[in-house]
Amino acid sequence: MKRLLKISNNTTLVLCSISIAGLVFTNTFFLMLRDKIINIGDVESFMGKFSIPVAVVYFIFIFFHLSAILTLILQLNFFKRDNFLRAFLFFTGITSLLMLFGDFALASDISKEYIFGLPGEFNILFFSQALHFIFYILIIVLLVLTRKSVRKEGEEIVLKDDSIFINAQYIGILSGISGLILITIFSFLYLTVYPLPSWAVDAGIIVISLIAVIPYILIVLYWLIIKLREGISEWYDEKQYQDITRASLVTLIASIIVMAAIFVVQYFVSAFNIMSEIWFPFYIFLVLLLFSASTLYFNKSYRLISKEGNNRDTAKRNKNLGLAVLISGYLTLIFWLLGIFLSVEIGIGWESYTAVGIFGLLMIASGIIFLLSLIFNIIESKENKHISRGLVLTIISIPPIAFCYLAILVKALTEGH
Amino acid sequence: MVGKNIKLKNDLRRCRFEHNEISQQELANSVGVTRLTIHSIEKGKFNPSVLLALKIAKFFKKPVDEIFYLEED
Repeated sequence: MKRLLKISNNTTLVLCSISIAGLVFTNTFFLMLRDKIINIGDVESFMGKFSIPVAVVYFIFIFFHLSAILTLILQLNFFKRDNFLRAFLFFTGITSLLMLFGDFALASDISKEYIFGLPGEFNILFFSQALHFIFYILIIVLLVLTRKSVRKEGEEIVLKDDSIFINAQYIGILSGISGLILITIFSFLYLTVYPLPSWAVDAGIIVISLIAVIPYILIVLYWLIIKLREGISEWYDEKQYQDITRASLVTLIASIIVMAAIFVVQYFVSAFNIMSEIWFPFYIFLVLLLFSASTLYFNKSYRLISKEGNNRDTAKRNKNLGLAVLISGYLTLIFWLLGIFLSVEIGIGWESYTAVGIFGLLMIASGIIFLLSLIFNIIESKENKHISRGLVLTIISIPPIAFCYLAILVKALTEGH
Repeated sequence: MVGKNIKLKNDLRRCRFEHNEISQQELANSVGVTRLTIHSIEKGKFNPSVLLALKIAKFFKKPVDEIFYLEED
């Protein structure tokens, strides 16, 4: 096992180095192609000259991705402790592999549509290239960091492994967050800003949902294959059973509250009407996120409160939570003002939509963090019989958050149905 | 009368120390749970089932109440 992992690590490292050079080549090709389309050059002969080298590079990319995913699976089996970077790379690696096939489709569309002007597919193509680049760089970091650990690790026998269980929760959180963000932005853009036919939006939502959920499905399948050797009663140990039971209850209550809130808000704010198109994937990703996050929370036994001198980590965590509320609260206000400034000075366009989109995401995030920080810090202050620093920071962040929520409420009531 | 604020405490850490300083992983393997479960029991963040408490006591060859006991919070 150790030997296999070493061979796999080294092969991936070599393929990764070649792929980075390949990525520079394909990016240069796409940039030159973009310039040729803008300047109405001889696009056809340019594409004819480079199509074979680009295809060869893409085959190397595919081999590298397969090798990297195999290495990550071997590492998941080999290392006893969970590692967020490894789980993140498993998620990014599979997404990046799926995006490679997306690149083929985009390149094919570009080759057909360039005669009508610069195709919009270039934006998605460069986004995809950025994703590949992030994956390539981070996998090098992981492989270099784990080279030494491979020699040390593997001596201790583990009969009941929890690292795959925890990694599956990390990947569930990543799938849930990316699914929620991508389908919301995609459907908002293509149903309201740049309208597309409903069937095209539906097809886009299905593709995005599949890309976001496939890494989670794969890790769960892998976990299932390992567990099939054991009886069903042995799949979880008793703490894991307790954790998933509690997580199920949290998921049930929280998903009902969130969906009910969206149901009420969409009655007042017309932009939320897109929920009628995306409610199903939205609900799936919301449940996946809530279940994975709460299972991880209970499994890792994070403490909600701290007693003075007893748990300084929790006090520090609560203080950081307060700081996060403060920063996100004021950032929300800044993006609210930026959105207004851009729409007045430049007019309504992609700049103001981007600012408003970021404002919306920040508003949701700051609201959730505010509630969490308030609950945790009030409990801590009550236990320790003095106001915690986190609570002070949370109170300071009330004005910007309250202002933003009130502004939205006023807008909803004045411009609603 | 048993008070409301009673908590289950344990001497698992001391037992492991007295038992040739076996690791949490070794104990977890012996009683069929994950290392994190043993860690959570030691830290008082998870109360084991009666079955698991008995398995742990059997492993250390001690009565259960010598390892697990109730204490006023």
